Amino acid sequence: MKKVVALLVVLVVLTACDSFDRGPQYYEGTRGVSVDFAEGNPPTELFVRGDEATFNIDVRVRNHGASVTKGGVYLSGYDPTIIDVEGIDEDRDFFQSCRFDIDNIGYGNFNGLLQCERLGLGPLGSVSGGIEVGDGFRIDLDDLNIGTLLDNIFNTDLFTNLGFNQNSVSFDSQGGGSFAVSFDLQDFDPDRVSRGPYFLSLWAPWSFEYNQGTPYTMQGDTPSNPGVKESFVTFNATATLPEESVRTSQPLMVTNCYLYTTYAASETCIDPQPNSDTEKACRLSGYSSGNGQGAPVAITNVQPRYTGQDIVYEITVENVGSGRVYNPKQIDKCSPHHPEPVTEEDLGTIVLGMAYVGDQQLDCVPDQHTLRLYNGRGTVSCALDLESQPFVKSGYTSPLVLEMWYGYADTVRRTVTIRRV
Amino acid sequence: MITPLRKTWTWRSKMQSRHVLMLCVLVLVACGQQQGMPTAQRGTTGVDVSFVDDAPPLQVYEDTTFPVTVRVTNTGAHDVPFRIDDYDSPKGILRVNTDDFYLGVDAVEDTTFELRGRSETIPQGEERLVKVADLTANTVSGQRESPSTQVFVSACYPYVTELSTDICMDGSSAQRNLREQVCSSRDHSYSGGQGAPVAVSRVEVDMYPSGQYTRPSFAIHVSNTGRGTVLRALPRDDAEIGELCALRGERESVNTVDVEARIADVELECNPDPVRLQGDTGTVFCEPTNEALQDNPNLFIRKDNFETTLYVKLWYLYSIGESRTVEIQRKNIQGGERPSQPSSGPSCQEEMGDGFSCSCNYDQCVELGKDRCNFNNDALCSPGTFCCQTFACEEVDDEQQCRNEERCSWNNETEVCVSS
Repeated sequence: MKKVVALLVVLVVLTACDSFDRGPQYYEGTRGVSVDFAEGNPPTELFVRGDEATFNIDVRVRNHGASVTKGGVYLSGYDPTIIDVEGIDEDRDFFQSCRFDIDNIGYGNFNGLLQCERLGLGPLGSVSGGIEVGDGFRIDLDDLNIGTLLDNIFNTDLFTNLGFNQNSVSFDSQGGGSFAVSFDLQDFDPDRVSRGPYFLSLWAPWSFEYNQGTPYTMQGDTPSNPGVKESFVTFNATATLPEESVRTSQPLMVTNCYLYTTYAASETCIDPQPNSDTEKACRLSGYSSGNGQGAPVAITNVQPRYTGQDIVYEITVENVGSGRVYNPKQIDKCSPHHPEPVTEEDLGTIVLGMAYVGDQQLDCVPDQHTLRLYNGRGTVSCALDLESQPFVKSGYTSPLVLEMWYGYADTVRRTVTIRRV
Repeated sequence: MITPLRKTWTWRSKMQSRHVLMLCVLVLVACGQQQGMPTAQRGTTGVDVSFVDDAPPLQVYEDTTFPVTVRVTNTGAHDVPFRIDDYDSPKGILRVNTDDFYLGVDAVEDTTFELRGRSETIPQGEERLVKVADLTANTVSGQRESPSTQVFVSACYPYVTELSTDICMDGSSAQRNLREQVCSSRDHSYSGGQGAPVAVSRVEVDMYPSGQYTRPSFAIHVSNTGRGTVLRALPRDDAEIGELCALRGERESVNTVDVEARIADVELECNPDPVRLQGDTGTVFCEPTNEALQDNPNLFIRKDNFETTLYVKLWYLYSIGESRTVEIQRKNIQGGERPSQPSSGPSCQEEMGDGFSCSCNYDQCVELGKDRCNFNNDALCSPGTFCCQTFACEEVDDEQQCRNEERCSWNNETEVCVSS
């Protein structure tokens, strides 16, 4: 009896502890955007009377994480002679292979080149005040409200709310499907444009409609806009059984490709003389987190190291989600309909979008702008030049801002058994 | 206080255990039934024949007629005759073969049959009893007391094997591609047959680039898994089944099956077609033509893998037989050896009675060969002699003939031939 009572007491305590209301935990967790099939759509068994049967494929898309996201849902895996999906397979010739080369990512500025085999730029064309989109044109957006422009592109009011006003952005057509993208945010505030808007505004010309995708844009779970964001993508499909078949099974695979960010900002101690014993406001210390930052890629460890002239931050990044990390510059290859194979270079590469201490950009190796994951884990070393810092003899704190930009992909499957009745 | 509680708990546990056990049994029984249910598209049998009891009997008497009746079953997936792709196959035929030295066949015409295969309405397939012929045991000659002979009945029938199997159109197999795919191409083995005596036992799948296309190639392994013989490929014309089963003058078509293969709705070109089985197995290679690739870019250009269906049809004539040994017994088992009969030429049609006699009279015996006549009713006939009725001198009315006979003398008074 004593044991039972003791067990009960422990259980009660544990239950009570678990029910302590810590409040909503923003910017935590290891999930990004998930997809799943709706109950019964598609059905696991479909009965064909006569020649064919129609059915819906409803895909629920949910953003559990903290980042604004832009992605696309792709449907594949089925025999096109058995299942016909409206809007897919109608123009299988329309493949789009794009590549995004980053020239520079600075503190609030960016230069890059978007190269596509055939770039329609439909979204920009529709918001550029009737400017004809074609080779050799230039959209000078100095006089436009960039926040409104981006909100029109993404069909949100996010960018206006975040203060994307009176800034200079240009998308300069180089002809032949090449586009020079230039971005210069005055009064750049990393905290305001972090968790997606900055990253996605650079990727604005890219559309997930290319390569048979159904695009979506969703905001993150933030204090100002709390909760998991949810939307549905519906495909209308028709199943036709071959003449001599009375039953066949068809797999449906949904590939969810999306652009996402992991943002981490923590106070770091800038101490030009870390080995001195004098009393200081702070001391060099590391940061580690096992809870994630509300994204499928997490910054799990930051260890500062004093080298004399620099403070080098050893930053460890891990894929803590269930999917695969795509190089955001090659996110088009995430589409199952993309004509080119996926190679090692297309996977596991993360763009180091922000690496600042205060407004000082860090110098990172082995690459200034990217880091590679091996077996789901990668490290980058970023140095803060202490000579560029105010001359002080004691330690002081300053925010260390890190933002990782990447593409991410998950798949879900359901098999539909089609029977003739 | 504790004891009753423990008892209650134990009793409840037992009840729960029983329920769990019953549930397990139910699940197992249900699973067993599902797995054991005859599935039309599985199995390695088609039409089969077997003799019914006593038709023919294992022992028959000479000079008696008896029926030959077979049980014909179709435990395969298709009817005989069948209709596929607007083609109406001929019916099957049953033939009886005997050694005509021992057995005579009353009717020599082939017997046609129709049998429905397994289906949801006839899970076991159709079964019929068919009287194939009436046979007559010939009179036993020679010294053998009860010779044996075989009655052989064969069924020759058109049949088709159909395989439809999911295969992965793997456009990425020809190059390294790390993209997550719904499937990847692999070889397939089929051990249970397809509800026919000829089965597709294995399909080896290969995908190779052909320009901008991915060309699938299939090595289809065919084997005769039934207990019969593949006669020949089945020509889809109006040829008469008897002629087809006779295999006259077409040695090159013996032991071959016609092959048709299709992926999704695209016909494949197969080579060789028909395929010859050697040692009960054969392999045919099928792939889409260049025109098929060009006409179906949605199947052969797309880069994402997908599952589709490979259909294979094998058309053939199949033969299966059954034999039974019949022992023929003489009727004169009490008198020893029965009268010999001439194998050819004039024959005395004997009418055997209980007294071991022969119906041949004197003149008939003389005509058959006097030196081989045996007029002694009480004696046994030796091989090569004829048992004839006892010579009666009174029947001879010719004086000279009577005088020539040792046993007779001529009575001059009465002018009658009498025994001496």
